[in-house]
Amino acid sequence: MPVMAPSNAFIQRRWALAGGSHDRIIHILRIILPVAIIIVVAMMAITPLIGRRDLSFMLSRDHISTSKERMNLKKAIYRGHDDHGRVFELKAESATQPDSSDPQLWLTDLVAEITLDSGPATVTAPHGRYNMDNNILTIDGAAQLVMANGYHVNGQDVVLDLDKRLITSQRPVSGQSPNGHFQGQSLNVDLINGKAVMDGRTHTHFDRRSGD
Amino acid sequence: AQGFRHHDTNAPIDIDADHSEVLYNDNRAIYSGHVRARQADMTITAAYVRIAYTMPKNSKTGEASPQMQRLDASGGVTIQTPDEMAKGEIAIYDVPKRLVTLVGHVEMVRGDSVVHGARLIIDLNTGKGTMDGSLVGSDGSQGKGRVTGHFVVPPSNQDNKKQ
Repeated sequence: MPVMAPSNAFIQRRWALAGGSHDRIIHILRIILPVAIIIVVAMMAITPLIGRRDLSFMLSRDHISTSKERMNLKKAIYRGHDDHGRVFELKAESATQPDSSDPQLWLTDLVAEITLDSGPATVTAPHGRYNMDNNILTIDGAAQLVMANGYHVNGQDVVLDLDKRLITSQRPVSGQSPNGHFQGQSLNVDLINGKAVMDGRTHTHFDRRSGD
Repeated sequence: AQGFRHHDTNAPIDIDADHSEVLYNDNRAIYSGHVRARQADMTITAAYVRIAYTMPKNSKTGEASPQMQRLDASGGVTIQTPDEMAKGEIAIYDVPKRLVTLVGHVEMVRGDSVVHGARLIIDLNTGKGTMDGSLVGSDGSQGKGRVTGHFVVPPSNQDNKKQ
């Protein structure tokens, strides 16, 4: 019988014959896979013993760096408005709120700017406390008030009620007006009605008139 | 009333008071409680002084340079100059016009002579004071006021000693 070329079916199924390519793969895998299993099991058994590193992670409250204040802002800007919707702006080099129960924000190098119909009124001071609940800025120590109409007032321990737009100080004040200077023992400025009241032996100097 | 003639109504004014209230939007200021206003050598004392000023823009600098316009004093006013003293109930000092009007039981003392009347108008330009008895704008219940005066003519020798 003449030698016949192998039929297609035979070619397609030749890998299944004994000693074909499939047998070789299986032969290799029969060795590799069991060995891999052994290694993995061994690893799982040994690793917890060998590494001292504590892989587990638990946030310990006392080790992490806690900030002692509830809020600590740098170059803070606080913008609010009063009952009449007029805007005021509070800028400070730093503003810290020691704890959440006390709504006071302790400010340094603060600038409070209140917009008025007659132009802005600005109060600057090295230190101050802003109470966020009642919108009152209390300045301990030196403060300066500058108004758009040319009034400059220097005082101490000044209280700004940003809602009612009142500036009060029970300490002596002195200042310049467009036409002179003045001083008094206490000061109450009503920014809405444009009234500045001084009490206790006040002195006001009106400069020389330039004549009509 | 020589003392008033040299008065410079453009001189600075200094006001001391127990209570001062500046209505800076209306350019008005109110002083009360032992008010003493001094301008040059004229001193006005009163219980209550009100000042009105204007804020004309200074043409050169463009800044508002307030001009004192008027000073109203009330509650017992005395106007003191080096050699005169005038008292009255109300005083109105019109700064631009340089007129001081004193109204209500006016008494003017100069040296030893005293003049009483209802109204005294002092013209700071001429230093002349004119006293008259007519009560301006009051109920006139006191009728036609009379000007009374008590003049002391210094004897001639005393006269030159004083000069």
